[in-house]
Amino acid sequence: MSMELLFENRKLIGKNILNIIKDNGYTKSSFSRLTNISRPTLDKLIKGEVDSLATFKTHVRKILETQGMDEEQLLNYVPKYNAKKELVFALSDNAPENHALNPKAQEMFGILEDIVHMYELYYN
Amino acid sequence: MSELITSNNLEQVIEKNKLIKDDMLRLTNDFTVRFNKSGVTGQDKLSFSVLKENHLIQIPIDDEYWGGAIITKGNIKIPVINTAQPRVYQYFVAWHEIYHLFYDLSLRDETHNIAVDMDLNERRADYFAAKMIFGNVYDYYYSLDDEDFIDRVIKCMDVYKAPYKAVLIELFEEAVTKYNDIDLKEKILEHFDNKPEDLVQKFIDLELDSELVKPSYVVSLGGLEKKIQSVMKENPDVSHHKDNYQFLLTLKNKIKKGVEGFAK
Repeated sequence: MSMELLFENRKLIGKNILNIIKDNGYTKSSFSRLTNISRPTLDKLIKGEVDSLATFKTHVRKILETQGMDEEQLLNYVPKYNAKKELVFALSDNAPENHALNPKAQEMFGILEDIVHMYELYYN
Repeated sequence: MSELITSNNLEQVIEKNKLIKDDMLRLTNDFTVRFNKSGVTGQDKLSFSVLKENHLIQIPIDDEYWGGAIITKGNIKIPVINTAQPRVYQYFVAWHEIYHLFYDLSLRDETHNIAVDMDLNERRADYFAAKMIFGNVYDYYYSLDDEDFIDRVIKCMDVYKAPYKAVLIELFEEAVTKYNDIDLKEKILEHFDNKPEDLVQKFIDLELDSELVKPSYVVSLGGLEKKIQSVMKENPDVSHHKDNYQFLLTLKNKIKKGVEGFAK
């Protein structure tokens, strides 16, 4: 199987990478260190937004190497975790409809999301 | 999202409360029997101690509307409180979230997709919170000597550790449904949408502890740090636990830096 085929399916590959991260108890940050892929690039890979084939190849190879996988296994990866485990919020939030979060609040929600992901790893 | 309560829809809110009152009183009794075995007396302490047993995350988020949440992922439900809001809101939000955590049908395992009237669901959570917080606030209000309506309300806030609007809603309900107290009803409607701007100064002027109307900025990750430390001890050869622990400390430092930003 060619790397070009993975590149054509980069949205799916992104989803599979995220599932590999979740299934193996990594956070995005620890996975980024393990694979030596910067956090912003990893985010782009997960979203399927890496548009350069050369960059895509370089980084996907790093992931395959650390996970002991080949291209076919990455393309056909079946997640172990239950796909129903979506985040559900019960909010105490009285914000008006046009209310926008300020950048500091957005950053804190990003941190909260990372913390919740760790809860999922250690308390499930 | 809770509906925004104003003087225009206050009467409808009381009508909704009538529909759920018996249910919510049953749940407050249930809560006391099941979850307050140690006999904790301060309602603020009780709500936080119960939430902490359920891995409460306390985090300061710079947003005046976002009070907290129950985040559910798979089988876990994580309560979150925004500590950048004044303590008095945190106490109310804590009870609101306890309703979601233990009694909210829309968040029960495997059933959280069932159709639930979300507006009524939020009203239930708010009403549950009010019933856990207030004793006989109507009697207390009339026991105060102050002539000034706002001063009396602030003293009610202080005693029950409750937000301004929550005090007014509770008083309004008693005035309308129990005592037909037209005078108090009109005063509440007149002041409902005009919360005093500087509550901190008002508390100081009335010789009350103004900490109640200030944020606490507490940062707590609900025991996650200890949990990872213990997993690391049990599995010293697994490197990603160490990575995760370091990552968690990085996140905690980022939050603390955010808190320093608030203080400036």
